[in-house]
Formats: sequence, structure tokens, C-alpha cells
Amino acid sequence: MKRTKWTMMLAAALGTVTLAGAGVQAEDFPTVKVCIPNYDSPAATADVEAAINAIAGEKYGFQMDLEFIATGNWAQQTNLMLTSDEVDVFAVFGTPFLSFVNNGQLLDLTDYWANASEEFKAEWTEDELLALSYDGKLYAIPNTIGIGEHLATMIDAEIAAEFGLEDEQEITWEELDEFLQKAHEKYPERYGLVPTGGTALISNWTWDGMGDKKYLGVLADGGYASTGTTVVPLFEAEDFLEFTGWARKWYEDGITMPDILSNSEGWKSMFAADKAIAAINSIGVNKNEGLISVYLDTCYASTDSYHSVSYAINANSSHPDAAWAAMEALYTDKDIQILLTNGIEGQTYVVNEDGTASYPEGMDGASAGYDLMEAHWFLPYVYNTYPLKVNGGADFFDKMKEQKAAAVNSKGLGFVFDNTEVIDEYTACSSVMDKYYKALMSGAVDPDEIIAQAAAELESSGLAKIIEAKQAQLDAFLAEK
Amino acid sequence: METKVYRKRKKIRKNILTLYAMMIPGFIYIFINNYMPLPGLAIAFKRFDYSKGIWDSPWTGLSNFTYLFKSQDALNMVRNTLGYNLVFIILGNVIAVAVAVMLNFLKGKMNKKVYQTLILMPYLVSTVVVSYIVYAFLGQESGFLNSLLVSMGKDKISWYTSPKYWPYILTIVFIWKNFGYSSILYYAAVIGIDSSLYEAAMVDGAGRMRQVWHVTLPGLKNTIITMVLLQIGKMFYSDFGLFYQVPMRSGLITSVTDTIDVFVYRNLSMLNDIGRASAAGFLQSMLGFALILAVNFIVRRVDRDSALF
Repeated sequence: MKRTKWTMMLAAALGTVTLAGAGVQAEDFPTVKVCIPNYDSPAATADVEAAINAIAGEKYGFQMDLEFIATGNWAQQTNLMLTSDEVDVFAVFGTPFLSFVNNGQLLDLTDYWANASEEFKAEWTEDELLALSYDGKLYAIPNTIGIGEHLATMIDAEIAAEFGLEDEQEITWEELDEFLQKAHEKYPERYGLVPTGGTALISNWTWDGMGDKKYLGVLADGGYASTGTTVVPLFEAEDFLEFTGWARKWYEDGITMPDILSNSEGWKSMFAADKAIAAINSIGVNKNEGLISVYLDTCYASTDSYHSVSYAINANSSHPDAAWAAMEALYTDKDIQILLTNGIEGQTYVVNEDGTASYPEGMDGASAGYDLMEAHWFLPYVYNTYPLKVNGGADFFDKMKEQKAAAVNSKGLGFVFDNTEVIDEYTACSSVMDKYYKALMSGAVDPDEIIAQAAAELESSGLAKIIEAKQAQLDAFLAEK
Repeated sequence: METKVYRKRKKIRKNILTLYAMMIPGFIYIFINNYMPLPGLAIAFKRFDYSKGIWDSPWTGLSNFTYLFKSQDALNMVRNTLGYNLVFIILGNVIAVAVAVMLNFLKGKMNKKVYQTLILMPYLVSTVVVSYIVYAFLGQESGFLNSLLVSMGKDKISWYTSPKYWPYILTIVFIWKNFGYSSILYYAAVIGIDSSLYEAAMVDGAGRMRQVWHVTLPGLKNTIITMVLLQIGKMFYSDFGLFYQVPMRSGLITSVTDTIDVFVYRNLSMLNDIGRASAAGFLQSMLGFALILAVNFIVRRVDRDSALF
């Protein structure tokens, strides 16, 4: 008798739970999973997602499942998700764009784009879209990352003031050298130059790899050097030789940190701890606390610029139409963009009088639970959102747009090198490049000796074949324009 | 009479059934983890297309394997893998056995426990931490070795850009990290040797060294052969952490620090080509398998009982 009573109660409880679950699951709209990289996973993501869904359902006919994945895990997790239909919209980030295309991971967006709204289509030029196309098909949409940034040197604001250097001033290599020598003499306990490219002074400079991040064959100086649109080996490019020459000089003079090749500390923390005088970096219109920037050169708008972050749809997605609707919403809907970038007003940000945004009183990114305003370059479209106060004013994104419009295009913009024909040579040469590139860009080794060594190894690994293939493809591309 | 036999047979059968039942979880685990993925070896011969999945992706024959042999770098890393493993096996086992024998000679239970714990500790430290310990020795600015050199009036050495030192550095780090674990394994075998054999040897007038040579080592023979055979089977694999983390990913020394695993990892993370990475793994397992068969065959010829199978 007792046993029957318990069994009945258990059955009743189970029944209720199932019914309740069934009730909640009644959905009218397909769920589109959106994955975005970030430095970590913010705590308030669920709130932002709920707020976005309140708009997205009625207006666009989809519900969003938003997930932020830390950059460290990004490649691994997205690759797993791409084998099934687990993710719909995601950022093409980390691994080279063409490898995504060749692996069949991206959905062909050409038809969707042709039928997109005029507002959406007006944002990007043909060349920009060409950089994310292959074989005549569009595979990804660019995002609003800064294009045409300045190649600059960030300097500790106080030290810069002592030597009379002002923010946004233009400077030559020789003047920079003079300043570094004097500053390092005065502050020998600080590192004169610290790396921003991990273990290299900076990840790259003005040479255009045209979709090839290993720079096996580049357009020197964006195609504006004396070699024009001839593809040259990186080790013969004029701008590369100039940069490595200076890097070596500064290392030998003791200005660059001696253990640069084993460095794992970020430049921000080194500046904050007063351990650094300067660092070379690409700077947009954003500002950094306590630092000023002097400009050395300008980044060309190249295919590589558009390959940092772009957005695409999973080829295995089970509802591509809804996914495209989500993409359009992310790129054109101002309310959704503000929710995605800034978060929930009052909870994760407050709007200041001047139109900028800050974290609520006494909070920072971690305690507010949502820090995407600091990493807006990961997001699809941020021009309509509130910029962070530290960046200077409500017109921050307008300035970004101006900078982009004023950017000089590399002569190779839009061309993507397809390495499938020469894949074996490419793999072999890439390993050689991995050996020498960062060391040369840090100044820790003698360029004369090492470049000769590296060039010899590259030749025996078949670099000439790669350059020939690249040149042929580039000529065909330029002829069609 | 009959019922007694019947009952006994039933009891034996029940015991046997219980034993089989205990085996089932382990067996299921091995089946799922080691046997079910076997058909995936086909990926090494395909051009994996995410939109088609494993079985519908196109076949490419042997083209996924060519990149492993094309460049000087690729041949380097095979040489490195085999070379380092050979040194590790020989040196590692000699030192482990020596330490196990020494542990046996220690007097005092407390002593033995303390030393066992001490030598095991490096094994438990993660390789990332080890890479920083090595950095503390080899760093340019404040590394221990460089400071020593400077205080002796010599020039600093840039360790992380000079290939010639790294075979020694990596061997020392590997031995330091792993000898504790192996010696404890050997020690377990050493204490299993019948002590009456030692007494008999002493009666025959054998000193300590002779006892070791004639009693301890023969007693360890089977353990050593098993361990070495297993290690030879893994000859084409390497400790990824050791070869990737300890050199602090410095590019200039990769000609002596890259092994097959590190090379493949770098290429996969760059090219995201699953087919080619699988091809490397396929080669490693196949070659390791062939090696184990060959060496086991040789051992069987020499001494039938010592062979693995």
C-alpha cells in the first residue's frame, strides 16, 4: 500500500515536470546560434540575449542563442561546432580565411547578399567584399574593425612630455631613435621598447601578404615600393629590410628588452607597472590611458586587414535563411547593436552627457558583467553604438569611419592567394618562416646573417614556385579589375 | 556423488561469471575509446570537407602524406623524434634502474619514503611550470647561468637562439622529470626479489656490487624488457609539453627541438587541415606498431619467456 502511494506521487511529479517543460519549449521562431570571440565569457550574456530576443522575435522572425568564446579556445570549439549544425553565425577569426573555405565550412552568401537591403549593401565596397570571396562566391561579411590605422609608437605620456613629444605627432625613424636613446639613458631601469606582437616588436608592418599570413611572397610597401605589383620574397622587400635594421639596432643598443624572445607579459601591464618607455603598435583613433602615440607610417587597407575578423554562416546550418536574417539584424539594427556592444543600460553601462558610455559607478568590465565595449573589434557592426569615454568623445566611431575612408588601399586589395596548388611547398616554407620571422621582427638576431640563412632554406623548400603561382594569380586578378 | 560434482561445477561457473562481469566495464571502455574510433583512420586518406562529413568527403590517396617528407624540416623532425626517444630510453632506463637499486640499499624506512617522494615530485609538475623553471636558468636578463657566466668574466650566451645546446638541455630536463616515476616502478620490482637469493650470494662471498650484478639485475630483467618494449612502441610519439613549452616556442631552435607532434600541431593550427594531421598520426601509430612487432620478435628469438607476446 505504501509502495503504491510513493510510486503514484513520483509519477505525478514527473508528469507535471514534463508538461511544464513542454509548455516552455513551444517556440514560434527558429533559434540562431551566434558565436563571437572575446577575451572571456561575460557574466551578463544571458540578460543581453533576452533583451535582443525581445526585439528579434517580432521584427525579424528568429531567436538568438548568443555565446562568447574565449580567444584561447576559439579555434578548437568552433571547429567542433562546425562539424554539425550546432552554430549558425560565427566569426571567421584565428585560422586563415581560405582554410575555412577549402574545408567547406562556410556557406555561400552570394545570393543572400544580392537580395540584401540597400542599407546593408551600401556599407561595403566591391574590393572589400572581393577580399572575402573565393572563386566568384562571397563567403563572409567584413566587420567594423579599424582599417587604415597608423603604424605608431606608443610612449609613456610623462616621459614623452619631458622630451617634447606630442600625441598624434608624425615622426621619422631617426627622430624616434634619438628619443629612445635619450629616454633609455635617463631611465635605464625601464625597457626602452617592449613587444606588442607577443615576442616580436610588432606582428607586421607595411608589406602586404594578400591573404597569406606567413608572408611568403609580398607586395613590398603595399605595392608602392619600387617593385610595384611584383611579388617579392619577404626577405627582399625594402620595408622589411628597413624595419629589421632598426629593430636590430635597438636590440644591440640595449633599448629593447633583452628577453623579448621568451616574453609572455602583455604590454599594457608593463606600461602600468612603469616597466616600459615605448612600444610599437598599430593605433586607430582609440586612445590608451597614460600613453601617447607618435606616428611612423600608415597601414594600407589590404586583404589581410579584412581577414582579421569577419562574419559567416556555417555550411552545415540547419536554417540558413534565419541565420541570414540574424546577420542582417546584427549589421543593420541599431537597438540590437547597442545591446550587443554596450549591454543593458543601467546594468552594464551608463550613457554620459557627452554621448559616450562608461561602466556604472565604481564598476569595471568584470564587475559589470559585460565588457564588449572594450573589445568592439570582435563584433560585426559597432558604428551606431556608444563609444567608451576614454576614447575621446561621442564622435569616436565617426572618426573611425573617416580614417577608413582616408585609408590608402594596397594595390593588392581584394586579392586572396589560393595555395592549394603549391600546398606542400607552402607547408615547408611556412615552417621555415615560423623559425625566423618573429626573431627577425624582434631584433634579437643579426639580420644580415639570419636573412641569408633563411633565404637559402626557403629556396630549397620551393619558395620560387610559390611566388610564381602568386604572381600569376595576382596578374590575373589585376587584369580583371 | 553426482550432486556434489554438480554443485562444485556450478560454484566454479558462478565464480568465472563473476570475474567476467568485473571485466565488462573496462572492456566497454577500451572498446569505445580504442576500437570504435578505428574506422576514423580513413580520414588520413581523405580531403575532409566539413559540409560533407567524414564518409562523404572525397578520397585523396596518399597525397596527405607527402608534406611529411617534402622538406628538410620534415626530415629533421623525424630524426629528432627518433634520436631523442632513443637517448631517453637508454639513458632513462639506466638511471632509473640505478636509482631503484640505490633506493633498495637505503637503510631506514623514513629515509626510503622521503627519497621516494622527493624523486617523484618533478614528475608531478606541469611542463608549463617546468618551462619557466628552465627560463629562470637560461634567461637573458636574469637567468642563473648567464649571471654565473658574467660573474666569471665571460659573455652571456643567448640560449634560446642557439640550437647546439638544446639536445643536452632537453635530455637533462626529461631525465630530471621522469626518472623518479620509472625508478619507483623498478623499485617495486626490486623489493619483490626473494631475499634468500641475497643471502645465498653473501654466503658465496659476493660483495655488494656482485650481488647487484648477479641477483638484482637478473631479477629485474623481465620488468626492464617490458618497460623498454612499451617505450619502443611509442618511439614515434613524444612528450608534446616538453618539446613545445620548454623551448618557449623560439623559432630559431626548431631544427633540433621539433618533433613530429609539435610539427603537426603547428601545421594543423595554421592550415586547419584535418586530413593531413591524421596522416601524421596514422604514420606514427603504424610505424610504432611495426617497431613493437619487430623488437618483440627479436626478443622472442633470444629468450622466449621475456617476450611480450
